Amino acid sequence: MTNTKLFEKLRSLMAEADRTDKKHIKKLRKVLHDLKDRQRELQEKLQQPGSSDEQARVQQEIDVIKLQREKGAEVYQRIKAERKARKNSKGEQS
Amino acid sequence: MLSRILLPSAFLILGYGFWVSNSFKDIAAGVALFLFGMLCMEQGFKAYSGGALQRFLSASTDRLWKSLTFGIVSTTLMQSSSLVSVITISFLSAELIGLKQGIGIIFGANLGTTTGAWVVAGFGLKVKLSAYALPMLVFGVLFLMQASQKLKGIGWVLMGIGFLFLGIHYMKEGFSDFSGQIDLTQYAMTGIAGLLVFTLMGMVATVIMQSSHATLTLIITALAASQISYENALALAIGANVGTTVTAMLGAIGANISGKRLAGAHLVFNLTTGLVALFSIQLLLTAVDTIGAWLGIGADDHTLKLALFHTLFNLLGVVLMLPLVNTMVNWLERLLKKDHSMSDRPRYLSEASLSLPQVALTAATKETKHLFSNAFTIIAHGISLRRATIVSDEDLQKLIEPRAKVIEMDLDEQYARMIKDIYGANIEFLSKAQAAASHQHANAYNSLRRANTDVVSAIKAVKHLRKNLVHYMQSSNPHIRREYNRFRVRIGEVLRSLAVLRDTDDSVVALLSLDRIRVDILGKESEAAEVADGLIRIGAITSQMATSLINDGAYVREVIQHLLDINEDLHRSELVFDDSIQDELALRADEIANIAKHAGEVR
Repeated sequence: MTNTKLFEKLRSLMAEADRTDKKHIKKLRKVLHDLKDRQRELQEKLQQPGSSDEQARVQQEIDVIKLQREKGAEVYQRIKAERKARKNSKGEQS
Repeated sequence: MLSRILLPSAFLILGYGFWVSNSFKDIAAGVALFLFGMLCMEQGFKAYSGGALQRFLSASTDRLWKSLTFGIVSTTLMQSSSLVSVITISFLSAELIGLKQGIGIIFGANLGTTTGAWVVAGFGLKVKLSAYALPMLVFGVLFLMQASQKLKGIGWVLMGIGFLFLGIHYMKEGFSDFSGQIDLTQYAMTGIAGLLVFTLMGMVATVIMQSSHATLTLIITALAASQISYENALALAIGANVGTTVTAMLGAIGANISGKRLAGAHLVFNLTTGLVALFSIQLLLTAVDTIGAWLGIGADDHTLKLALFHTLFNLLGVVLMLPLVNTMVNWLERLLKKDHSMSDRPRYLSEASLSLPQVALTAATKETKHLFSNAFTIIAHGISLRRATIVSDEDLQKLIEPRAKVIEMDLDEQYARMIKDIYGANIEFLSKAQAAASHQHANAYNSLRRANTDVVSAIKAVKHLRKNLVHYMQSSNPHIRREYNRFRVRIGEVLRSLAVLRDTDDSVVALLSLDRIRVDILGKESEAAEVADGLIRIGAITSQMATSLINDGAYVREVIQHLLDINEDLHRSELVFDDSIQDELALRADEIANIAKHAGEVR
């Protein structure tokens, strides 16, 4: 396989990875948005009077969502960094 | 028994025919090649019947006129009304479309299939089809050798068209040779007797060949070679139209109630159209002559006039039957009622959907949800809670203190009535569908299989739990009664949360919500264990009660775990292939434990 063909193959692989990442980021954003909305709803619920058991349950759900959102933000940052690194390496090749 | 006689007889007749006549051999080979071509085309179009077709069909069948157009266009393109029927039955069985839409498609397919006669009469007889057939077969085989399923699909379609052309060529050759040896027109019949006899012959030929398209091609080629009279050819075409319903009826034997209703509609349509054509044949002939002249079809061009006749009488059928679709739907629903016998039956599975991977997956998912819905009721009643109470806003905590009223039920009988048949059908369907599906669907099928077995395990755990539960939830000892009621409430709250999750459209969000339920359960489990320990220490419950409480606590955990697993697997089966977000965001066991512990400390 000639170098040109090899580079072409590599480029198409990177383009494929880029497309997958874009889809992943779009989906991740949607999920994070849904989680944020749910957290806001629960926080509003927490402000309203209710039994201590119910308040504890709501707080527990907020804690779960917070942790999931934190993890989501980390994944988002990681994908962004990976895309940036890929773009840089593409620039160096060309 | 019948096939034991019919098949050897067919072999004998064909063998004798091949021996005495080369022309007969050509005609029979033409029919065989034509039928094989149709099989190849069906195989090819199935490669495109995945998600895209499902989306297209859902979008293009929401109105009756759209269903009708879909039927016409799809049958014209695929040249196989039986494939369109199979697809329609599978979509109808999986409740992706309604009966009215299904009937619209079938009406359209009847009209669409008439384009085949135009192609054969207008093009097939006028050009040397074998010249096109051979290159198509070569290109088709090349495409078949490719790894991509879509390219293979193109290969099958090209091979199909190639064999169809080759079949027509052989039929044409056979009849033209035949005309030199024997004149079949000497057996022509006129008048009503001829009409009825040849209609019957058309029906029989279609039943044998299982394809009205093949019968019609045979009729057109025989007509072109002047081996049958124009009048008899018309009767044969009517017979072919009626005969095709036999194929639909045979297909409906293994189908569920939706498939049977659709086959009923097909039968009513084709019988009515056939009868109308027979009674108004003179009127139709006048219409054929007038419209034919207007279209520039020669008065003696009987093959094209036959194609026009075929289209006209099917069009007449559609015009007559279309305003009656709603009446037909009501009548069929009354006539063919859902089985309301004691045992619940599978609702969405059909043999037809097995050949369409995406539809089969949707059907299996819906049936598993149906099974879970039945299990939901059994589990709720098993812990003496009404389904209505669980899905209401009622505070379940209020149930902890008072003596509860037992819901009397025979769990084994309920299992046999609401679970057993559906579970068995699901497992059988999943095995067959997974064998036919690509590796992309493997995870989804495995998830569904697990969900099904978890349903059964959850019910078995409830059965064990129920033995002591019905006794202690009514106990005069308030301590043990409270703990058993807590078990009921814990399971009830999980069922309530899962009922809410069922309405979540996004499977990833639904899967992440399961973490919240897991944290909640873990918190309550440790709380309950502490309370039980305390009760044992202060002697509020006997040692026998204590051991029951510990053992039954394990059953409660088992029920809840299975319920969560069922829902996790159901939502996983609906994920897009490369969706990994839920795994990246889901909490680990230690994170769940930490939040549960923290919440316990706050309480």
